[in-house]
Amino acid sequence: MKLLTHNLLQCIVPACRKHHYPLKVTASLLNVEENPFDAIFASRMLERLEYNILLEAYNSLRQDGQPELPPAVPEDGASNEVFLQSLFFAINCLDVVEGAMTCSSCGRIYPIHNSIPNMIVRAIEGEQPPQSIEKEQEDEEEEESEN
Amino acid sequence: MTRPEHIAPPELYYNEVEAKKYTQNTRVIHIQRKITKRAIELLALPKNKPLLLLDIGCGSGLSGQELRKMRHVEWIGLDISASMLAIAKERDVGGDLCRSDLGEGIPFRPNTIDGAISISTVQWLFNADFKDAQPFQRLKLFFQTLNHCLRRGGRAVIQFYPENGHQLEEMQRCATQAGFGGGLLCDYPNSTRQKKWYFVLFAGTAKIDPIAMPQALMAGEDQNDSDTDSSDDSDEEEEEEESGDGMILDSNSDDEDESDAEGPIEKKKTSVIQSNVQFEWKREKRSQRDRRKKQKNLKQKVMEQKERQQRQGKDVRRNTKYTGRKRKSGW
Ligand SMILES: C[S@@+](CC[C@H](N)C(=O)[O-])C[C@H]1O[C@@H](n2cnc3c(N)ncnc32)[C@H](O)[C@@H]1O
Ligand SMILES: [Zn+2]
Repeated sequence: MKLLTHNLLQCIVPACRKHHYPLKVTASLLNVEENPFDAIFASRMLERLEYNILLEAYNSLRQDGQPELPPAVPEDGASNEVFLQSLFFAINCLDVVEGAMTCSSCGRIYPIHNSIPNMIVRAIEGEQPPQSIEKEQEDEEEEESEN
Repeated sequence: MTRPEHIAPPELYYNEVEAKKYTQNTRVIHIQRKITKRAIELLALPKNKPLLLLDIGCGSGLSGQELRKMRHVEWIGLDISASMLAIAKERDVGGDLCRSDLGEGIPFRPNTIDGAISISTVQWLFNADFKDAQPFQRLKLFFQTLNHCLRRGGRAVIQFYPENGHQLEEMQRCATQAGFGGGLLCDYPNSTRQKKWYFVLFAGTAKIDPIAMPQALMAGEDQNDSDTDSSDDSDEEEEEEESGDGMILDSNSDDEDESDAEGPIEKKKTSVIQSNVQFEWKREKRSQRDRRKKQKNLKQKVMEQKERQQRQGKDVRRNTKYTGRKRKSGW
């Protein structure tokens, strides 16, 4: 899963759907695809991205030697070659192979396996049921009490 | 022929074996490619513009891989079958993949996608495949969320295999309620083999845009459909000549036939739908004149007669895939 896809995805649990909650991504295995830089594409995607969410996701996954993203979109972002190159790498080259996405609101976990996120919410016959939401909430509470 | 969607839920039907068989079948490959090319044509994408598209029910990527051939275009494929997706991944079809049940809604934020195709998939949504499944709710949610995630004016071209007229109407109603403009189009309506149904939908434009709709051969079967494309006029004149062949069928028998099957609810529904959704018939490759030379089949006769009646301002039943067909009563 690319970070472009991640950035556009939202939690689809009925209670969350209308609020368009973003998903927090974690990865245990990453891959880098060497896709040819397409400045026009990157610049066109810019307006539909939630930049802060991209930044958070990318910074948590980025490895040494990979391009850096500035803390905010530069004013000339849509035409700034250097920025667009970093952006393109972040949204279209980095690939989360194994990992998960978690809803920031309800704690729902969407696993990522073989580069494919599983967005199905209902239980599918013959497959392991999705991870419980209660457990997640407990985790959150623990985190809070630690703070 | 048995429909796969009657055999098992999609995530079970398209298991490892079936997914492999499907993807390697040369006939399937050929047909899916042909349909996809037509769907892309109907998307009427701006040339050389960077776009992000969806392939809804992408399966193993036979459809989506056609999207790859366009410059500056990236696509994301959605499918419920893990086996189909695994093959798509293995075949490196170029799109980012996502496992999703369309009946749970398209999982993208509003206003993020430039266009969508869906090839041979949406008919699956009519089945209640799991406990408490509500096909109608699922269909509604599918169209709603699709309309939301598309950018204004973005198109969705949905090719599917409706089982009957009710399904066509349900879908139309859901699409219209979701706020889509556009309509239904049937390629090769007179060929049982080649006939294909497409929804050509425009996001966020609940009004029909007659300029944007693909060219029609016989549009606006309803008398209250005054919005129809003006380019039909010439066709109608051409058709007029045909009325001289003296092969008019008894209209009453045809009408009875249809009402048997579709019931009185249909009338009420169509009057609601027709203000927003326009029926279109694709021009067949063969010219009208060529066709006229051939022996007319029952269907053609019925259609031609209906057109004449329409021109005369008569109340004529809508054309469906069942028009002019022998049928059993009931669905
Ligand atoms: C006939 S295949 C078409 C695949 C591809 N579009 C092509 O042209 O080759 C139908 C696909 O629809 C998928 N499908 C059926 N129901 C679905 C659902 N509820 N959500 C997502 N995908 C579904 C199936 O898994 C299958 O891959
Ligand atoms: Zn949520």
